[in-house]
Amino acid sequence: MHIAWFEYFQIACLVVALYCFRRLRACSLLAFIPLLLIVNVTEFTGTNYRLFGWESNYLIYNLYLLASTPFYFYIAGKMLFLTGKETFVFYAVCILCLILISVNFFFIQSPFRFNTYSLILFDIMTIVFSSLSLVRLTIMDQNELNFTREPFFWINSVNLLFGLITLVVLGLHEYILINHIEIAHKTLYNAIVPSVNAIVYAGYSYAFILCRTPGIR
Amino acid sequence: MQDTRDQVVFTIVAVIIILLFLGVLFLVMLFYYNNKKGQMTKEQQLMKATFEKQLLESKLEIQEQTFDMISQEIHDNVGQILSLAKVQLGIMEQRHIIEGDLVSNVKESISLAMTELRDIAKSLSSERLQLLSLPESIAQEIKRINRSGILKVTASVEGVEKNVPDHQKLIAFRMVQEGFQNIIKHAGASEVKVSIRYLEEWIHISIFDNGTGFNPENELKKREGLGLQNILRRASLIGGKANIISKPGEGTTLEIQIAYA
Repeated sequence: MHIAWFEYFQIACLVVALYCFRRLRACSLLAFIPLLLIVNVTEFTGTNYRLFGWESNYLIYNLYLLASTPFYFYIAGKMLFLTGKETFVFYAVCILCLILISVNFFFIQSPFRFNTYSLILFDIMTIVFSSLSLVRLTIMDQNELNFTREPFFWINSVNLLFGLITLVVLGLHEYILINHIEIAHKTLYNAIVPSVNAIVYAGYSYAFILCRTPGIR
Repeated sequence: MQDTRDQVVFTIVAVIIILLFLGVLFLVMLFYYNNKKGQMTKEQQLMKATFEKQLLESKLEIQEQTFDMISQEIHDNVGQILSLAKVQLGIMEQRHIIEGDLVSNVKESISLAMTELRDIAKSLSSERLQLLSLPESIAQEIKRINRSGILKVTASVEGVEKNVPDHQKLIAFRMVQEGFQNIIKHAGASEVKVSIRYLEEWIHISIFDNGTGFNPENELKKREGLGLQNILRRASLIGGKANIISKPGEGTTLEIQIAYA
């Protein structure tokens, strides 16, 4: 049984989320708890897939994408402060994306091949939603907004940077594997993604700590 | 083959770096925008606080001047008339007679004193001022001054009357009152001409007196020039302008311009 170093950040993030349960509820971010559970189970199973006698872990990550995307979209919707027609448009776009991801999983790339199309779509949506959320956060009518103390800023910033980096690395996943593209004797994926993951979950943890209960806020 | 692979790695890493740079640039721009917004909000709050402070100070000054004016009016006019009535009653008491003429004189004095008191009350009531238009309020003030016989004041109104917000109307009227007070106290004038003109975007009030005149620059520098300074500051408080044109021996013109909204 093996636990990769970046998984400690994911476990720590889940622990922080559970510790800050009330704060997350006050900030409408409770969906992070099931999402982080899925992340941790997926990463642990994905890293130790050989223990279960599987030849590859693609199915695990494809299922992860299918299961985690609704939670990501739900959280993005909460951080966008949607009103009226925006809510309808947002959820219509999300449902369409989920249908495309499902179709790709079952019919196009199949469950046993890494679903790069779904991942590219997911990354694009993450980039768009986090950018919109950051812009809305900036132009929102608040007298003084200290970004460094704002949990939504940290969550969206790390999501944006994660989306931009993984769009290339995971989008070209198969190409990188087939052509053995490496940096310092590591595949490009192994060289970049663990560090990015560590940054993302450290960012999430910090954001959870910054969440305030209504009484404190 | 190794070279080609290196080129691919280089390209992929370059694309990642560029995307990362764009992402960071976007975040930096948001930070910058947010900081600017914060600074602007602080400046606006500061300006608002300063404006409110000045407005409060101005209101307090107006209040103080009003008390002075009441005191002076009661002492100079009502007090004098009532003193005369008291003297007349004293004469009647000494003579132990009730002469018809003397009684009617006393009645006249008391009635005059009542009229004076009513006029003072009217000119001081801000509620009453809000009910009247600016030219109507000024006309009442002119009527009061003319009745006292100190000055001969005439007024003219040009243009179509437009609505002026209540707070602007009140401050403008107090400026005109202060102008009249200055003329009565210092100008030594016999005639005053008031002109009210309704222009496209402004209301223009001009008060000309044929008094001794003075050097406005010198007077504004002096402490005694506080009344003039108040007129100028009050004009700026309601987004207007005030100008004092005068030369020794050539009378004085006070010009006030106020925007409609």
